[in-house]
Amino acid sequence: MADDETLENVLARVALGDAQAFETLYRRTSAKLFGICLRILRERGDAEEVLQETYVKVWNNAARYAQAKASPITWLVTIARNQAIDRLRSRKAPAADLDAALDVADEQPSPEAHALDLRERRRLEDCLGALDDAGRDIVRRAFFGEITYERLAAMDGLPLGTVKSRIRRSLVKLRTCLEQ
Amino acid sequence: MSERPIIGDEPLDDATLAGEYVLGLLPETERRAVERRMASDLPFAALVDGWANRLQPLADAVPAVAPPARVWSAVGAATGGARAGESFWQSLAFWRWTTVISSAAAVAGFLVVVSLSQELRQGAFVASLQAPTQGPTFLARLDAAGRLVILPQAMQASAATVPELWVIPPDGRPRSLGVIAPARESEIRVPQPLAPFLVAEATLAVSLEPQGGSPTGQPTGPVIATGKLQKI
Repeated sequence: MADDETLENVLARVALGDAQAFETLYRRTSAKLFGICLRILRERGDAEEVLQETYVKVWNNAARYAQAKASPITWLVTIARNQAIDRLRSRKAPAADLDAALDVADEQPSPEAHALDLRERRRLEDCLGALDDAGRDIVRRAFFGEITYERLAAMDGLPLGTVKSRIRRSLVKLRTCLEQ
Repeated sequence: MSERPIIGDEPLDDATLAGEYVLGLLPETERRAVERRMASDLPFAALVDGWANRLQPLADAVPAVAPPARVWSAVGAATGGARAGESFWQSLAFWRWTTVISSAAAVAGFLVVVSLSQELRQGAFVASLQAPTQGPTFLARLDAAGRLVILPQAMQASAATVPELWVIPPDGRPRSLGVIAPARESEIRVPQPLAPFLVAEATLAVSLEPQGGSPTGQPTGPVIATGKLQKI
């Protein structure tokens, strides 16, 4: 139970095909990734399948982490989010009720929850706060797959170009702020 | 450019495109195009990683939920070797299998040589081996004659340990290419039985081992860098 081993190290061992390291990685990160999958997909069956796909992908692609410029947990969350968003886009039926999905969930705190520097969180909050209400709302919802340019244009009855233009301005502003 | 009538469809900068991708705003075809570009354009991939890092607090705010045990069983089934609780570096079945493979490789030596030269004859390969927290730490080059040169970029020399180079074929089991020098170029003649593993996309890794190399024939120390062979 070497839980003080850094996730970087665990991932490097997974890249070498170490099955024990893979189990450690799963034990330490799967609840966090499952929470994200549920948040995006709002349906347990789909979320379980996507979580499975995510870890199969991690097992096969762990060697690529060495080239990523992200923390291990961000790299894992990115894979899970992308898998979940792709699943969401390919699904035709509307999403089920999030509360129903979470009600049956056995919630537990994530061991990695404290991994992130509080200052990073504060900075993101401040920079999101500097956007107008609509821009802030769009960023938050888009992160969990709820919005595409096309959907937004259809919802607001606006031309696609207008919607893109507006959101891009928010993105430029957000990035400028985050990089200060 | 000025004849483009659509407001908001002006050419956009890569950083904003990376943000649009991370936020999932793009339609399917554009998402795939961004992913293809990330695979070959490292500065662009770094922009995408940058957005993911900065937006990570949004993910951290989501409550963790323990998945049911059946998910891990399904993952184990889908990944074959990754069985719960057992490392195949330690498993008896693995050692038996390695022995079988080694003797089979010795018997089939001639065939191995033929298949090797097929791929190697077509050109040379390079690999940039990176550590999780820094840039390239080793550069490797493999020429058409099966000569592998590896050059340390930034390595802390230590009296207690030596770096050892491994190739990890698709079966996931590391094969040693030998101990290398920590501070200068090393040249390795790829042993004939390992040559078929040194193909495009093969993973190379460096681990730290006791003086003289790994005593077990498998990595025992920490992995300090990994990278993939790319055809040049």
